[in-house]
Amino acid sequence: MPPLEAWEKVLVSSDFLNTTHGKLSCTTCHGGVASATEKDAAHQGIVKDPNAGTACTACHADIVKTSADSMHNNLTGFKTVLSQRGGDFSNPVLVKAFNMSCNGCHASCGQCHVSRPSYAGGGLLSGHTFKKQASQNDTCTACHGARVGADYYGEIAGASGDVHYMKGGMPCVKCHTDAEFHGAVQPGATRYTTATGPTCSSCHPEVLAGTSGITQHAIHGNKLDCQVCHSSGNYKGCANCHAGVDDKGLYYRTTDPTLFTFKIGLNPSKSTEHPADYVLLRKIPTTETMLDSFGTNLLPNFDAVSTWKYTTPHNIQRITPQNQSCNSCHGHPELFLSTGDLGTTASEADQKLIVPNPPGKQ
Amino acid sequence: MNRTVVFVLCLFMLGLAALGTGCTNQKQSNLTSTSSSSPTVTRTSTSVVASSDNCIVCHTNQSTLEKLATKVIVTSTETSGEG
Repeated sequence: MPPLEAWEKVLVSSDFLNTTHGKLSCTTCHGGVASATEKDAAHQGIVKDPNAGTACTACHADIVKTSADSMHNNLTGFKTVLSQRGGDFSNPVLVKAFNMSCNGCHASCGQCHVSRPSYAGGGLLSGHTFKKQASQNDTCTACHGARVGADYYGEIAGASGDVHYMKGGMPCVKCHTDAEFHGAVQPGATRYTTATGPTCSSCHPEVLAGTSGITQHAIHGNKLDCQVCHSSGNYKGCANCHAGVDDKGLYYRTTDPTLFTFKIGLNPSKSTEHPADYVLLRKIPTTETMLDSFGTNLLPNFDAVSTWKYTTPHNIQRITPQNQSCNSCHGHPELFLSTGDLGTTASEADQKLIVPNPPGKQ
Repeated sequence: MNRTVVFVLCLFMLGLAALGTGCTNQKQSNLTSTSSSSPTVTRTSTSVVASSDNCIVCHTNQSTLEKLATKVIVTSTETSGEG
């Protein structure tokens, strides 16, 4: 997605002015001084990204009410795992680190329906015209592009992409619904513990019902996540993240080069929605010292959570290297997470994900 | 004398007219506030909506924005790796 010039980000189209939102006064949502004729004076008190509670709720109260507690809005999943690692959100140092680092992924109403997300540099979509359905390329994969989008669109060298897109042309919203985007979640939730996420069986119920007529489905039942057999190859992971503030006061983040792995392990996030014993795991960049430039020991219980995370790669194919024969998987212990994969930034919890006796290992 | 009588009568009539008008307004006001089935008076908002003309002049003009819009740098050059 090419970056926008500064002027492009704020250019309003005349078409927008004829829409329902365009007939409102600019200051109704954005504040500022409408009577001023100079830029700085006009922008006094300007609100670049209007608050849903004041700008949207008058007409969209139902959505605003649930989205206030949605993961896109308040990043519940991040808070959950940081808390599980001992993060104390009454500590202002952690709050500062969270706001400067994690909060960059916060998405307001406008960042999906009016502009590109701030994470992707912002800038109006379609001259400020509101999009009822967010743009897949400018919105969804603007944030979820490096990993999910690249997998799905087949942009990773040597990868085949995802059959749902490459052959089916399915947009993100075919599987991911408004309830997932706007739905309220309880504190302590992650996206894998909510009931609003997509499931393969929604469209392929015959697999879990045992009526698919495919022997491998009958043998493995629901012990294996679908992706274990149908992820078509290596997928992205990250390692060794560190964040901080440079000498100019600007936020920075560093990570090691991207990892491409395919690892089967024990399910670290078993839930009603994701009950399989064996799942795919992805290395995540969290390290014990990643926030040390803000303050030391901000994650005192780091080892409580693994650094290999339950994952659902978006590179699904019916036929994959590991499902062509029994031996394609059972004869390849390297497909399974092992101690040698854990690396120097591992957590003690990673050990619990290693399959004790992977098939094929002598 | 006649002129004085006429003048007083005129004042009296004007007073009656004024009283009559007041009664009528009072009646209408009562209807408006007590009867939901007879909305004879519709009040419109008197709040002043700020004109967006000044905002629109600049924000719909590419050449103006090319001169005025400034690039905001929010991420350090020390950032590295894929996120």
